[in-house]
Amino acid sequence: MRVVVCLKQVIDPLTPASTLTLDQNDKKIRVGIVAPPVINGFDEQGLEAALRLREKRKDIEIVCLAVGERFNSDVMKRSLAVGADQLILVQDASLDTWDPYPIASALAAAIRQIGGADLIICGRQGSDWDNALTPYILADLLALPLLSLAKRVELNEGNRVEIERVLADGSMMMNAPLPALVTVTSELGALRMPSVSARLSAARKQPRQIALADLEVSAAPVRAPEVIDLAIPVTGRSCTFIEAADGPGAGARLAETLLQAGAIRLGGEGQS
Amino acid sequence: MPIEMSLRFAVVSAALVVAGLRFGRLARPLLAAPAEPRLKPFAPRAWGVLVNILGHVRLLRKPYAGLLHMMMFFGFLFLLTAVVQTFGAGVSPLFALAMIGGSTWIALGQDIFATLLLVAVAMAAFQRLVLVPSRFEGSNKADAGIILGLVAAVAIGLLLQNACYLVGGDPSAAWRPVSSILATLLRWLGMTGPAAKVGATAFAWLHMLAILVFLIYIPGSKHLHVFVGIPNLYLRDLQPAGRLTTPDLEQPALGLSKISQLGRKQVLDLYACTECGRCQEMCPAYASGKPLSPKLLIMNLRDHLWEQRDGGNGDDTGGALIGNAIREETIWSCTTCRACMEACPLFIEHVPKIIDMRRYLAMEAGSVPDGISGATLSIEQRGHPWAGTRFSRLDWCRDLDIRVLKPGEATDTLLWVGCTAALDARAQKVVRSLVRLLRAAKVDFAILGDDEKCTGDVARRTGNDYLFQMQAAANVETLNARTFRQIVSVCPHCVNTLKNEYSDFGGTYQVAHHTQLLAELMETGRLPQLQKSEAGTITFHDPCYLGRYNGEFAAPRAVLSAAGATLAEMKRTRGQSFCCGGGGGRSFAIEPPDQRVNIIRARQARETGAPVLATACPFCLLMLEDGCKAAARQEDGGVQTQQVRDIAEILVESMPGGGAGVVW
Amino acid sequence: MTGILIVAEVDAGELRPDFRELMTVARAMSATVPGGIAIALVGAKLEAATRQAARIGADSLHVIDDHRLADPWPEAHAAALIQLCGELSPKMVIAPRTILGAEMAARLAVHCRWQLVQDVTQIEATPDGGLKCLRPVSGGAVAATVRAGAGPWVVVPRPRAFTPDETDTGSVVVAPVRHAFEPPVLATVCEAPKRIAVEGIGIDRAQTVIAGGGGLGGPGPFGLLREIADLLGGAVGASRVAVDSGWVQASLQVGLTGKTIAPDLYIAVGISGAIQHLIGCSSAQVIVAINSDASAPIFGIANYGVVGDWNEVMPAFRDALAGHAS
Repeated sequence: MRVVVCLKQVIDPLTPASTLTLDQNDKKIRVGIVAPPVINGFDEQGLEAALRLREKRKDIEIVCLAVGERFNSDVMKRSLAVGADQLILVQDASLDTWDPYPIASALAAAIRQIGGADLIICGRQGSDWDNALTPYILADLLALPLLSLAKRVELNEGNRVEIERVLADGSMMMNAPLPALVTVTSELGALRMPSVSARLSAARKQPRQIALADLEVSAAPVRAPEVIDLAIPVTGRSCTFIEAADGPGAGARLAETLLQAGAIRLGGEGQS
Repeated sequence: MPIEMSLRFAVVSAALVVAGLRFGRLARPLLAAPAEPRLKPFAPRAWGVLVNILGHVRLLRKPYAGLLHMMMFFGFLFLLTAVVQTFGAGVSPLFALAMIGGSTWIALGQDIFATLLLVAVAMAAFQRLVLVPSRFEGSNKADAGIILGLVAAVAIGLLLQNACYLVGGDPSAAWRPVSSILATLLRWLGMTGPAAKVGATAFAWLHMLAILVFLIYIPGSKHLHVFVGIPNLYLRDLQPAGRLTTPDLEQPALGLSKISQLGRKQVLDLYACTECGRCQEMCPAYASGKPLSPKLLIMNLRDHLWEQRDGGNGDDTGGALIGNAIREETIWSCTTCRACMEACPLFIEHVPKIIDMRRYLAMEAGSVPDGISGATLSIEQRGHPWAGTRFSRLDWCRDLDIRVLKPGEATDTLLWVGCTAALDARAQKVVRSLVRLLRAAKVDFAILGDDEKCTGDVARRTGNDYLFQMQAAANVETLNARTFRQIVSVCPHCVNTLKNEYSDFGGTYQVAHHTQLLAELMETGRLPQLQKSEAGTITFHDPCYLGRYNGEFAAPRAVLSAAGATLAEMKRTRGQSFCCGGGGGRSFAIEPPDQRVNIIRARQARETGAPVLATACPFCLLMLEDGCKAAARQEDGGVQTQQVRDIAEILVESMPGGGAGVVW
Repeated sequence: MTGILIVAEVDAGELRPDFRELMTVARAMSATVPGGIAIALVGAKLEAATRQAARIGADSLHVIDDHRLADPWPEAHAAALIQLCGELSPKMVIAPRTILGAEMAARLAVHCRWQLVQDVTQIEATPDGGLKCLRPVSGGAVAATVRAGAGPWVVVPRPRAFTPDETDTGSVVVAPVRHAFEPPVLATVCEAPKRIAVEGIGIDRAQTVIAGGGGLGGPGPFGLLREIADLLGGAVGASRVAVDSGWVQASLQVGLTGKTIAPDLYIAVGISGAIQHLIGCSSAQVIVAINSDASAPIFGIANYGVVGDWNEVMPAFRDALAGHAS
C-alpha cells in the first residue's frame, strides 16, 4: 500500500526574529542571513508516523510529496535518508504562496498523477502561516475522510486507519476507512535520526521532479484572503533582570519585586 | 635425586603447557584483531617505554603506590636470576650463574630484592586492607589478594631456600645477609644438615610452584600487564591528543558495536588494565554519580571479549556489546575530558573507545539522548548547536564595526568567534573583551561573520562524524578562500579542531588560543602597560581542550600574572584538572541536579578561597557560573559566590582605564 | 438570511467563557454586516447551555441537540454547523480557536468555499465590501494584514485578542430555534474520549500561570511549580517540550499548538521561548522568565528576568511568597 506524506519547506522557525526581513513587493517573509529552510516540523512528524507504520507492515511504500518553490534539495532529501522510498518535488514560482488552495490543488493533482494513495499524512499546520487548512482542502479535493491531530496512527486489519486524537484534556480514538487523510501533531514524537549509510545512499538519489504544467491541476475553487501588508510587531517590553549574589537570592528578590510592582496578589485574590 | 629431578621436569613441563594454552587462548582475539600501524617511529616510542617503565613517571604521581610498585617491579626483575637458577639448576650447573656472580653479588641482590618484595607486599596489603583507596571500588579484590600471596610465596620460598642452603653449609653466607639471619633462626629452631637439605628442596619447590602458579594464573588476571604493559606503552597513540581518527563513512559498519571490531592495540588495552582505578579516581562522570567508570568500562569490555571468545562461534551471538556489556547511558556520560587517559600508567585509550561506541549509536542506530541530538540537529540545520538563540552571528558586534573577511581578502589574524561566544549573551562578553585587547595591541584582525559555521567538535565528540566531516569540509572551503597568517579563537574546542583535525580535510592552519596570543602580545610589549595589583587572588580552571588536549598550561597563567593576579591553584590542576562537565557534548545534555560535574568543580575552586575563578573556554565559563552559584548556596547559603571570568575579561579590566569604554 | 453566526462551544454543559470574545467581534462587525447576530449551539444535552445562550444578547439562537454530537467528533460537529449554515445563509461565521472550533471552521470554509481568516487580532470591514484583518504569522514574529473578498467569511479570532463582551443583556431572552440533525453519511468514526482530570484551574482561565519547560529536565519539578501556583491562586502550564516529553498532560501546554493565554502574570521557568511558545503567552500583562541561558528568546518578551538555575531560584521564590502569605 502507498502512504503519501506531504512535506512543506518552511523558514526555520528558530531563526532569530532580528534576521527576518519583509519583502513588501511580493508580500513574503525572507531571512536576512544564510539560513537554510527546514521541513515543517509537523510534517516531519507525519513522516515519522509513516515510518512507524512501515515497521509493522512491510508492504508500505512511503512517498514524500512537496510542492513549492526553490527547494533546498539537501534539506528535503532528509526524508529519503530516514527511509522514504520516493521524494517528489513539484516546483513552480506560483507555489511560493501563502494561499493553501493552489498548494492543495497541486498536491491533489500530483497524488492523482502517481496513481493515488491509500493513506495521506500531513502535519497539523505549517509553522509559517499557521492556516491549518491545506489538509482539509486536500481531503475535500480527493473526497477522502479526514482524521486530525493524531498522536498515534495505526492501520487496522479491516483496511481502516485508526488514530489517537489529542484533545485539550485527554484523547480520543477515531478511525476511518482507507483511503483517508490523517494530520499529526507534535505529541507523536520527533522524526528519527537517519543512519549515515542511509544518508549517503539518499544523497545519491535524486528527487523526482514533476513540473506543475504536467499535472492536471484543477482551478482552485476559491482563493485565500490576500496578504496586503507585513510588519514586524514591536513588543515594547524591556526586561528588568533581577541581580543577586546567587540563585536563591534572586528568587527572593524576584518575589519582592513582583509584590512591590503589584504583579502578585497572594492567596489567589481576584481569581476568576 | 633423579626422581625429584624428573618430577620437577614433569611439573614444569605440565605448567608450561597449561600456561601456554592459556596464553594461546588470550592471543587468539588479539591476533584476530586488525593491527594499527603503530610500530614506528622507534625512538620516541621506546623512550616513552623507558621513562614510564624504568622511571615509573606516571605511577609515582601517587608516591606510596608508586614506590611499592617500583619495589615489586625491580624485585621481580632481579629475582628472574633466581628463576633461572631454580629451574636451571637441575639441567646444568651453569644455571647457578656462579660464573657471573651467582653466589656473590647476585646472591646479595636476590636477598635485598626479595626483602624489598616482601616490604612491597606488606605495603600493598596495608593499602588494600587499611587505606582502601576508593579507586579500587569495583576492582577484583580476590585477584589482587591471590597475586600478593603468590608474590610473597615467591620471595619467602627463595629466602628460606637459601637459608636452608646456608644451614647446610653453603659458603655464600657473607653475600646473603637476610638469608643468614633466617639460617641462624632455623639453626636455633634445631635444623641440622640433613633437615636443611630436605628444607632446601621443599622451599625450592615452594618458590618454583609459586612461580608456576603465577605463570598459569597470569593470563586471565590483572597481572597480565607484566607481559602486555611494555607493548601497550610502546604502541601508545603518538598523534596529537586532540585528533580523533577520521572514519571512512562509506564503510559498512560505522563505530564500535561488536567487540570483534576492536583494533589490536585496543584489545591490548583491555589486557593491560591492572584495575588500579587511577582513571576512575580522576573521572568527573564517576565523581558526579553517573554510570561511567573508565576502569569498569575497560573491565567490562575485557570480560565481554572473553565471553564472546568462549562463546566459541565468534559471531557475537552472546549478549550485545552496547546495551548489555556497556549501557548506553554509560557511553553518553563521558565528557571526553581525557583525565582517565592522562592518569593511566599503561596509556590505555578510554576516550577513543567511547567515541567509537558513540559513533555506532549516532551514525548507525540513531540513538542519541535528547539534548545532544537537539544540538547536533541544530548544527546540521543552522550551523550552530544553540537552537533557539535570539542572536545571529553578527549581533554581538553590531556596535563594534569589525571587518568581515570576504573570500579573496586578507588579514593578519582571523578571529574565529565560535558559536557560543557569538550566540550566548554571557560568552559574548568574552569575545568583546578580546576585541578590545586586539585593538589596543593594534592587531590587524577580521571575522568570518555569517560564513563561520560550527567546527563540528560537538558533533564529532558525540559520535556524529558524518556531520563533523560536513562541517569541516565547509569550513575548510571558507577558510581556504581567504588569506591570513593565523587563526585565534576564544574557544579551546574550536582551537583543537581547527588545529588538530582539519588537516584531514585539507586545512592546515596556524591556530592560537586567545590566551596564547595575549601572552605573546604582552611578552612582545604590544599590549600597553597594565595597572598591576588590581586583579587580586584568582584561581584558574584549566579547560580540558586547552590543557590536557593541547598542552597549554603556561600561557593563561602568564596572562593572569601579568594582569597582576596572585594565583591560587586548585588541588586538581593542569594535567590533572577536573572537567567543568561541558565537554563531549555534555553542555547540551540534560543533567539531573544531583549529578552535576560543574558543582563539584566549583566546590574545588571555592576551597582555594580565591574570590575569582578564571577560565578560558566559553563552555567552562557557562558551566562554572552555574556551578559556582549552586556550590555557594549549598555551602554557605549563597553568601559568597565566586565570580567566574574569562582571562580576556580579567585582562581588559586591568588595562589603563579598566573596562571603561567597552559597551557590554 | 442571517448576518453573523457565532459558533458557541460547550464545555462541561456550559458555554465556554471565551464565547464573550466572539460576541465582541460580532457586535463590532454587526454595523457593517446586516442581518443580526445568531448563535449556533451544537452538541448533546444542551439544556443549560441553551438557557445561558438565550440571554446573551444575540438576535436568535439555533440549537442542534443530538446524542450523536455528545463527543467532540469533528466531522459530526462540522456537519451540524454546515447544516445550520445551509439553513441560515450567514454572511459571517465566527468560531472559537479551540481544537474543535478551529476544525469546524476549517471544514465549513472548505465545504462551502468560503474565505477563512485564522487567528484574527483586528478586524474591520472595507469600503468595497471586503474584510481586512490583522493576524500573526511565522509564530508571531510577523504581523500580516490580509484582505478577504466579498464573503461569506469564516473568522477565527485569536484567543484573548478581543476583550470579552460585557453588555448587560439580562432582560433580553430569545427563544431557541431547534433544528433536527440531518447529517450526510459520515466517513469517520469516533469513540468516547479518555479525559484526564486537570488539577486546579485551567491555564486559560487562571489569572496567574506558572509554566515549566525543557529546562526542568523531568516531571518532578512540576510539583514545585504547583506549590507556587497554589500560593498565587494560579495554574500550572508547560511548554511543548515538557508535553511532548510526556512530563505533563497536553492540556497544560501554552503555545501555538497548545493554548493561547493572556493572564495577568505569566512565569516561565526553564522555558527558552521557542517562537511557537511565545505566541501563546505574549499577551500576558506581565511576563517573568527564569532561565539559565541569558540569550534565551524568552527574555526578549519578559518584563522581569532571572538568569539562573531554576533549581536554586524557584525554591527561594516559593519560600519568599510563603513568608509573605503567612
